[in-house]
Amino acid sequence: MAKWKPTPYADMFDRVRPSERFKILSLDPFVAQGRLAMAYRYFAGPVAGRFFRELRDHRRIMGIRCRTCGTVYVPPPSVCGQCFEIPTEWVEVAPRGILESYTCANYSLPVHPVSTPVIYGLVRLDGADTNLIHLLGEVDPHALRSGLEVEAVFKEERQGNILDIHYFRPLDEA
Amino acid sequence: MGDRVAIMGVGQTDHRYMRPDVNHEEMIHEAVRLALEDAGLTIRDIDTVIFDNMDLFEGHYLADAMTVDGAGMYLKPGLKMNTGGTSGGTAVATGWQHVASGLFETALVVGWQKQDASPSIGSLVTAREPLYDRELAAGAVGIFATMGLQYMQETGCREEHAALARVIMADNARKNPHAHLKLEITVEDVLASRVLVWPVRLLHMSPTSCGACALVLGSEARARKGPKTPVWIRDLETAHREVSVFRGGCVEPRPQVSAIEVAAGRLYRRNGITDPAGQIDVWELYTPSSWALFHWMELFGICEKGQAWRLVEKEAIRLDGPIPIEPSGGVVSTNPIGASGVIRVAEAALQIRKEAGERQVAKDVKTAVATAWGAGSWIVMFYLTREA
Amino acid sequence: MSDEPLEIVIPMDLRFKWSAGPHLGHFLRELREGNIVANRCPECGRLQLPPTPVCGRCHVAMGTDWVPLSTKGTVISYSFVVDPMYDAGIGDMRPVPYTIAAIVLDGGPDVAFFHRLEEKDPEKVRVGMRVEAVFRPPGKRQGLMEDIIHFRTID
Repeated sequence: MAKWKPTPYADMFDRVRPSERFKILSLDPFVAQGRLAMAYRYFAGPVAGRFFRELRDHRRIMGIRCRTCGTVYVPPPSVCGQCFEIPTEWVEVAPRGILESYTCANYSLPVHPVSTPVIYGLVRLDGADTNLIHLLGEVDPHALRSGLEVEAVFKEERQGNILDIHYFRPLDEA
Repeated sequence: MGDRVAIMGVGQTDHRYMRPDVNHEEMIHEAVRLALEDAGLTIRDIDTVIFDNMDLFEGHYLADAMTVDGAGMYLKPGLKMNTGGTSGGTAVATGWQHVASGLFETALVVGWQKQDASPSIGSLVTAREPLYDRELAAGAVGIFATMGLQYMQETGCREEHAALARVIMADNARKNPHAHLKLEITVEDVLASRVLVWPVRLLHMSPTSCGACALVLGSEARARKGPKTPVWIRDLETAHREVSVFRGGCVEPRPQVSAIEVAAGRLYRRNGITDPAGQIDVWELYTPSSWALFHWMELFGICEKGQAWRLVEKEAIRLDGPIPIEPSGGVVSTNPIGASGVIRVAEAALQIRKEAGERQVAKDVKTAVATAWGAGSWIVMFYLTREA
Repeated sequence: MSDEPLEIVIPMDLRFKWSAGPHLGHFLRELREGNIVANRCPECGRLQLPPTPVCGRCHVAMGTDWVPLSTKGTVISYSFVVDPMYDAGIGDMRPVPYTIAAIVLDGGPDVAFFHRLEEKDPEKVRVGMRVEAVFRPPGKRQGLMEDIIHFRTID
């Protein structure tokens, strides 16, 4: 903890490229294109922080159990919304589970992590009571069905975010 | 007026420059849990949740959606407020309206900001009209610079007086365990701090803080059953000025209408307050810069126009003085913006309960005024009392 | 396992379209021609700068009673911006120091016009000083506030 320092603001803003303030698109009616270029930081907090460190450093998917209602949440929340209790009991869940539902985006947006088709799956990992949303890979979208067994494929280079899991792929096709 | 509404519970975090140890939801949860404990209630006793922060300051749209569980909003009715600097005040006012209407018996009000996400100036200038205003806008500092300059020119107030006001607020903040800046400073220190926008120096401005504050409001029937002395929100008032382009700022050449004067006038008339300085025992004004304090004191009718700096010079605003102002250390010591308006009400309530610890004022507090101030001279004003 | 905080930095660079509308649009087109124009409230006679659609006090449509103002005026308040500040409009730090002033233009006593002063010396800026707008050359103007470089001191 002693050697850790937050990123200085100057370094945050170095990631934004300066340019013109406005481009006039039309004079009458007067329409201009403006810009809002900012950099923000987010601290994950202790619960999400542990989840992502386990993922990054140990390829482990961790859940957390609420002692009051017994629900095992993956990913883990700081507070159980139903009980308003702070869950403290960490449990490792399997890197495989059941595909509960799925969908496929056939259009491209800058925020999409992969090119089209973007296949999303809702995965109930073995040992978890909640569903994790993630990408599906190595799969024909037309061959998908609910109830399929899937497993996590981890990236070799992991950075501490949800895409340290590359995607989930069907077990029986692996 | 609607049904009587009391403050049943108060909770706030310790406010800090940075909270790298927690995310938004975890920080909010700290305050919510404390407020519920203080009110002797559980989340199941809460009928509605009113939530506020300044969107965009953390770089999140719908920050409330990320924090539902920690804020206790899960499956509850409620609203999200976002009215700039007044957000916290607006949230308390909305909570009051929900209970005063008789539709809800209890309301949880949650205000917060986590300003370690980015320098807030970048988000703040987006409040300005982009083509006409934004290029020249220097954030809130410029507003207080023009206020300060104008005040010095018109009244004989000098930089030393604003510096003394800042020192008094710092002295109070050191007695408040929740305060962000607990500075040991002298008038000389303030005058030696670097100029941001003259005459506003670094020490004249509120810090960027992380923190949350929560209140539990209850109907009379519920509040009388609670473990703590109910503090009554006897009345509240809001007023806005015109559209906030530069002409809506503080330097119109003609004498301007002040939203603060209008709101205070209406609230005082309804409550038979003819001598605010004599009838209000403690003031938690939303003072983002020590240069704003003089204007606020005069616009709220604490003294005649041009006289506020003399009261400060006499140190009448100290904890043991006749007109204690900002006993918590004020917004210049602690400013998690979305929480700041809620903190003003919470601190005023603690004064009435006589639970303010070292920062408790010497007077016997029966009445208090708490305010929030923000964009375009928008004002929310609360009148709190010990007697129902 | 390390318990250091997990921090992520998220750069955002968003573009937005802004329609100035007929009143501010007229002002900006006139600015491009080197003119500063206000409009007048038909009810109270007060000027608005920049021109606006509605008089906030009278709640009536301001209309198109355009009033050209002089590009000369008097400083009624000013300040010096010396602290470096990030400007999200350009994605960079804004150059400092600069002097900002509220200027009452000749012919428009109701409203203050905000812009930079050429003069950066705190000893030489005062309330009541006379100033004049310095425009960019006609071909370089776009219809933005930047079309005025600054206000220079005149006698």
